[in-house]
Amino acid sequence: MSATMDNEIRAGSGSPASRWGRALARSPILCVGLAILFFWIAVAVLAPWIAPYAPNAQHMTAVSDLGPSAHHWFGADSLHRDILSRIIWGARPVLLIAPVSLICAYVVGISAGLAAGYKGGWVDEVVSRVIDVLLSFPKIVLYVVLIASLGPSALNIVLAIVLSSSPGIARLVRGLALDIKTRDFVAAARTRGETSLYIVFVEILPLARGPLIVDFCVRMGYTIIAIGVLGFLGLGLPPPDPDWGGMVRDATPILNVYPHAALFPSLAIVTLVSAFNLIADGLQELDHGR
Amino acid sequence: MNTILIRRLASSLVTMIAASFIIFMLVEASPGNVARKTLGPFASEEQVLLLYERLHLNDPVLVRYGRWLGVLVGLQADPLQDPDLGLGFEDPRGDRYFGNFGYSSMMNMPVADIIWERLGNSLKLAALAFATIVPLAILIGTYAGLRANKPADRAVTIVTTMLASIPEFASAVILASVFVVWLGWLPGTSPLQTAGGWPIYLQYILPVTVLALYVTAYVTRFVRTSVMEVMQTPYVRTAVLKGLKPRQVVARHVMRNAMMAPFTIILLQINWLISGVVVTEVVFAYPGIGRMLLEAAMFGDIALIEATSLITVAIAISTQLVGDVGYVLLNPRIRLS
Repeated sequence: MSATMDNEIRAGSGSPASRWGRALARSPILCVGLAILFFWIAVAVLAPWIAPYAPNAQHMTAVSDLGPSAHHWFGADSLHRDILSRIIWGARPVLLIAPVSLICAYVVGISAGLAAGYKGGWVDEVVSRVIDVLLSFPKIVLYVVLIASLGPSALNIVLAIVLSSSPGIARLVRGLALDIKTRDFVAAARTRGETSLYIVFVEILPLARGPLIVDFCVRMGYTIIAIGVLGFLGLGLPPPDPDWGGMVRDATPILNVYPHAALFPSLAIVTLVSAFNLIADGLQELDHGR
Repeated sequence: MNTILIRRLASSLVTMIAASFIIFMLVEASPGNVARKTLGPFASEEQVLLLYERLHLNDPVLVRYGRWLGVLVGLQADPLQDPDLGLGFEDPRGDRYFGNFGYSSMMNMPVADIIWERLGNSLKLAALAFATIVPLAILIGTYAGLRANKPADRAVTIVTTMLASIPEFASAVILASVFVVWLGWLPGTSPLQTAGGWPIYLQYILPVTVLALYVTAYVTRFVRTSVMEVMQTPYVRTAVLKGLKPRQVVARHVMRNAMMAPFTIILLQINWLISGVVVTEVVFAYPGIGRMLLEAAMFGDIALIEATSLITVAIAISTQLVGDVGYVLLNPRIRLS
């Protein structure tokens, strides 16, 4: 915690832009991570213009062999759809569902964690017990059981991720709040007669943002993996729209003949996940002020 | 110290009961569903309504949960096994025994008949993965931790970060492309039968590798950090200054203290391992409990979903308990207090 504060004081001079510039110059890992992330964001935004074909179009005549060719750089899948186009369009659902579900999870986790950490007493007891129970579940069990009973859809994926991620976030925030609430300025705010809501959101939460941002990036990686796993298990977005995990699932039966159909979407997931892991590592490195 | 252990045991039990309630709620919250799924898609509306009434499905959810728990621990007879219902659910063990998970509509036999063999297979897979992960992670993690921020350490960090970015299904696809499709050294599926012409031990190699890659990367990072931190403590500096050989410092002072945190981490990683086991079993068609969970979920087999998820959660909770208790026993500061 104190490392974050010192760092902010040290880096406090100059405009936000020049602060970012200096941070980037200090951490090549952060640069690489951000570059990969911006690449995928650009791909997702520009999908209609850069994708060579429509994602669900079937090219029966063009494809005699499903392997990569001049017309279909990454080859075609078992339904003769262009894999490159499907990967490009498939960047959209991941980059939409992952942040949306994680932000929802953060809203729940931060509220519960702040309440437990700041209020203490029975609130803390109840929240902590619920966290313990939810964290005792292997996430995949929660996903499979939840989505099996509610049916696969974007909304239910969000629900599953909120349910599985928010307890971890709440535990982290609770710990940070327990630490920060002992500081003098919190006591000062209480003496001023500020409300609990004001204190937790204006005095405590901003100070916890350093560790929370790193945690967010790490969790983005996990969430993208989770969305991929759900797609792979057949619990993801309903077909026919492209979904990276689902593409790998569709391609595994023909893996023996056409490994490319599973390989390219797998690589897409790996690069996006590693982007967030690199960003998290870079931020942590800056935080420790190496 | 005994009070700590007893409290931990009690809280594990409470967690287990709460977890079973969550599973029950997720699967059986809507009572209409229960009757429909028990009878299958071809039953008429009247049959569903009849079963709904016979099973008292309009009781409050807590009452239904109590009944379900009663059947599970063998205090109550399974209402579905009542011959008057005419469902033909027969169980040689009778209708009242501990671990009565009910009757699987997908496999058409009592859940207890299928689940334990599958669990055994999964445990075998997990044990092999564990036996690979622990020594590898300790070895590589210590190696990197002792050379903190030198090129070797940076290389380990980069490789483990990359490996931790590869979900199991992706590494399975990548490894299968190389070793199955390209080189043809290993089988692409692991049904644990020799009918396909592949010996059993070869069928284990890919699943275990896939499982080990992801979790090893994760645990290695913890071992590395832990070793790094211990290296900076005053007692290690003292050991070095009093002239101990580096080997002795590492063996006697660093390892014993640095293994505390990873020990818990490794056992707490069981949730990761379990998730990995589910995905790996699906990829390689391995006959374990994880694939069974997914198949049951796809089919809508209520009894089997509950059984597989409950057993998985029970394993996770008891492993965490062992991790916590082990930590207490290993740490003299807590043990002797």
